[in-house]
Amino acid sequence: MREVTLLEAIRAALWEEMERDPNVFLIGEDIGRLGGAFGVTHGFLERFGADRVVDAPISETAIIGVAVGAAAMGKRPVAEMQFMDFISCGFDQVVNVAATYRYRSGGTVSLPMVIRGPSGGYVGGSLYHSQQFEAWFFHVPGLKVVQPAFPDDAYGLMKAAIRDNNPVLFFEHKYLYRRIKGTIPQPSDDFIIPLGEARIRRPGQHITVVTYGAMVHFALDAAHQLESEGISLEVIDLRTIKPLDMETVYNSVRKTSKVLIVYEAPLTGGVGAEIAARIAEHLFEWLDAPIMRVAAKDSFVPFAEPLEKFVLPSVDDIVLAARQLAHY
Amino acid sequence: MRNRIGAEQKLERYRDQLTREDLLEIYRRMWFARVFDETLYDMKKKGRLRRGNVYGSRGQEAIQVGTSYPLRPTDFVSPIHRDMPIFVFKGMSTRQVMCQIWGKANAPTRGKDSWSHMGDLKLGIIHSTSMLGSTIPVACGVAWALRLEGKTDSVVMTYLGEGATATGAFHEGMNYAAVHKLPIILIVENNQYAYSTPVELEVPTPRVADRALGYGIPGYAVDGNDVLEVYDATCAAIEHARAGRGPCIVECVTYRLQGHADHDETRARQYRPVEEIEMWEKRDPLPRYREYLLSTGLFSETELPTPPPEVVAEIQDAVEYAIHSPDPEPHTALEDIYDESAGVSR
Amino acid sequence: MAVPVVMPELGESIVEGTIVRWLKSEGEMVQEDEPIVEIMTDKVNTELPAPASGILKQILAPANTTVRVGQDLALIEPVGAAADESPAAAPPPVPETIGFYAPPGDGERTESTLTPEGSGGIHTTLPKREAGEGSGGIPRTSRGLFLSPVVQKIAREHNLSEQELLSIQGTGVGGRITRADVERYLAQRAAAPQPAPAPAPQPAPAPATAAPREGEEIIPLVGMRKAIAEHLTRSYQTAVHVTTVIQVDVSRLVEFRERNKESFQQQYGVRLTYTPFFIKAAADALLEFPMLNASLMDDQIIVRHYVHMGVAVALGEKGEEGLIVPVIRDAHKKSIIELARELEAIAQRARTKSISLAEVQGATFTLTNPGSYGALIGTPLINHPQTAILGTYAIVKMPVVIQDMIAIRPIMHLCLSYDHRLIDGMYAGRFLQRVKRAIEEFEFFR
Repeated sequence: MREVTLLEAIRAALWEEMERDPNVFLIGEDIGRLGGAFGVTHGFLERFGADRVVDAPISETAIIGVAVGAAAMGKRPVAEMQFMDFISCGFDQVVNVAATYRYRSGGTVSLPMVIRGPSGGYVGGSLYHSQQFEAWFFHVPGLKVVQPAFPDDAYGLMKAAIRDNNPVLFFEHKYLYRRIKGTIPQPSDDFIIPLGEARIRRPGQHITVVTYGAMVHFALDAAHQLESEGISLEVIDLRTIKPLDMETVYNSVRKTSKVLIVYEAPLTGGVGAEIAARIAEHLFEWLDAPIMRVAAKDSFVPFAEPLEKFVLPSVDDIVLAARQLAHY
Repeated sequence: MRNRIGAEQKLERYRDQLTREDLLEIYRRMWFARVFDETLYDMKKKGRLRRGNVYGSRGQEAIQVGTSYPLRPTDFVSPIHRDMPIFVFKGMSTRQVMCQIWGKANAPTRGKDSWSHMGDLKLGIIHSTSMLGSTIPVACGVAWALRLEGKTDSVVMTYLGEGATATGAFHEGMNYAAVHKLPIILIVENNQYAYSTPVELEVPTPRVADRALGYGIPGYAVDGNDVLEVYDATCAAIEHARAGRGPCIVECVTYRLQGHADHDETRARQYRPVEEIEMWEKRDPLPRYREYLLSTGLFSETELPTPPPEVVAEIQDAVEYAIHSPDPEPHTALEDIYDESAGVSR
Repeated sequence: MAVPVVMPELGESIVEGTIVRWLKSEGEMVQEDEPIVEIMTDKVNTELPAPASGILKQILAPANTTVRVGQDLALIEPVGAAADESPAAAPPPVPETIGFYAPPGDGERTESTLTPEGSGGIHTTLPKREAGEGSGGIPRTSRGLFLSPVVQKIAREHNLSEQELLSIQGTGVGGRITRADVERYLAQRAAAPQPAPAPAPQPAPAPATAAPREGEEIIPLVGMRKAIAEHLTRSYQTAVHVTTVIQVDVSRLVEFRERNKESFQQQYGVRLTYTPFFIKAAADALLEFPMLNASLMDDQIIVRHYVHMGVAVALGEKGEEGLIVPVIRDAHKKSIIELARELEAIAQRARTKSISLAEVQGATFTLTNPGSYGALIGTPLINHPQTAILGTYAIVKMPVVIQDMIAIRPIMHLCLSYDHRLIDGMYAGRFLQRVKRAIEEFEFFR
């Protein structure tokens, strides 16, 4: 076992997959010479060469399109968005070209590609370096969406994402990159975490908390605080957002009858809204309280600190909501 | 409307390599393209084809045949909606193409997408979408894969209308291809109109091929209604690409004799001057090529029927086959969204 | 075999067109590809060619009609070689589907069938109930206590009766019974087994394991008490209650009764009380003041010119068993003796609980007698949907002023509560004066 940060876990997965499978290659801005804006691909160019570590121009459309064409031909490209926010510049290639490819080829062509990049706030990144817009892609058939919260999950899920035969969007939370440490197995263990499997990071009795990304850590903090009040939270880390592992969620709701969904993205139309709807639809008779959500306000992520704090969810928000639920 | 035909480039006469059989095959293919087009319009009018637009390419046969003729089975094409015959020239059966048009269960896309939004990578045909220009980055990806596999003498021939060169995707794709010297040949079918928009409202340069300057690559502009001139320019571009010198733009200047699609026939004669249409009808590539062949003295009239009956028969057979093919089952609308064969996902 | 001329889809969003004119007439010969009809649509005017050569047998859509894409416009009877192109059989019927495909017009049906199942838009599956899981099983509390879905589910699964549920102390917000509360109750119930009470309307008031505090007793609100509570709540909340009081000198009444009660009993077999006199006086007065005998229903005042007199009867020795109001029908027509007889009979039946539903329905006015337990004055509640109620109070010897001198007389107070939505003070007052006069002047045996 090796102790790594979340970022190092991702790097390890990328490296090991590139070693394992010559079809894997990387393409993105500043990933070769610079080693990536956050250093994820540090050392890759020297090891794997310019054909497999491509320093692309500022052309998200081209970066994603190249990944599409290469994937159609059987390669396993991993395209980096320097900040996931910039994926909007190549949005058409994601939703109209990549997502639809298999469907409109009569099931004959698969696109085993990954689009990865840093997302999320709490770093003063302002409007365009803080977004969590996984909901855009959650809504599109043909795509898969992943956001790990812990190094071991990031490691195992990145390997699975590269080996999956569908376009996978891999959101890496920049706030967690170097703050979260954990252990990962050795490369020889060939460790994979299947996509579409949630994980109960903290078992509990009273409230089911469904969350992902940085919010998992916030929820765990809240759970720790509420322990002394006799309120026990069960924190479920979804890990994969699409496809959703509702079975794990349902099992927990049957135990607690109270649900709190926490997501960093704006409240309206977020992933949590869909989860709430499904629980209400399938487990209505198991509910002892309304389904509650904690999310960012319906705004953009502003630059000034008091503004960012106001918009984004906090541990206190989770504590307050959980208390309300517990006492309902 | 400016006459854009530029004859300044000195093109090598690759046409001199063509045999008598080649010349006849080119003739046959041009007629295939013509009859294909006319048949579909007829099917639409008679109500035997009820769903989906027919995008005519009458008058653009020289481009379709001249550009695709030099390609090898190991080359790739990315055709657009006015290049339907190219699917057949590259190896799809006429029956398959008709099943696609009729949206049948045995179509290449199984009824999921329409018209030219289909492909077959084994035949070297890349699938496309309605997002004009988006095919260029994808073509770059195909070329990249070929490079990684060491198949460096395969080329990727990508087709676009002149209007699509205004898109961001076009720019990013061409920029990328030029930077990395990818073997991309961009055939710009400049038929003067993007729907109702004339080319001077789409392209600010005198010739569309002038855009090549921005990428530091060669740009040829040829008479798109002269099949052999198209052939020469294409061969030059292919040679350039196979030698590893990077992409080229080949602008074929022609004219869209019909409307943007079959629903546009009446208005296309309103937003364009009738004299303009009539002038270009006189430049029809088919009689022009036939006259040329006869002028060589190598062919007799009887060898050049108008149309060749086997072409008509093949197309009619394909139409009937498609019409009598089964419709897709409704539940198949939910199939082929994901590929779970890797076994790494729940 | 006729070949149809089909309306084609002339543009992407074109769904219909109008026939401008037919270029050929019925019976005329047409050639394949020859234009035969002119069509007008939003986007384009066009001429349609004949799909086959032959005789234009029948025009199905004449000029100026609107036609839909896919619709047959005409039939051509092919002639000669063209007959080979016609379909072999009549087009099979179009299945009733979502309308996804245009109906065929030319026999080119394919092998697939489009079934109506699998409608694309429906995704919700509602949870199914097993047969036998009754809708009657869910206790909905009338006290307005909210039972969450999971609490209802558990209650249903464990056959918890209404009173059991209501006996559970809720720890949730506002005293809500939470899932934990009901699970705790079940655990305790299982630990100390008791016969499960049947969910019957009459309560067996056993305080369940909800632990009343010291000195407290918990009785569920059920049965008659509950019915009375609901009824009076409704009365109180509906009518605008005003009570007016008048004092009555009942000397003559008392004297009559004292003199005649024994012979009355012997002669008529019925005990003589004051109540029949009050009933008579009130019934006669109501004929003169019919608005007090009315009912207000949905902006309509139903005035009656007959009197069905409800007479309140207390049940139980201390009146602890509730109140019932049997009805004497057509009281205005009955004599004192008849009233006395009927009153005794129904009061008896009421007290022995053998009264029928018909005997407690249909009252237009109610008389109540709080005087029987010594009340001096009161503010009775109207018996909804009636408009007024008359209370007769205790007869007490009181000093009164008569001709400026003090005398002792038996005095009774009459209290009339009335609905001020319909009745104003003077009307009510006059009614009381009428009743007072009848009693004081003792006009009962005329």
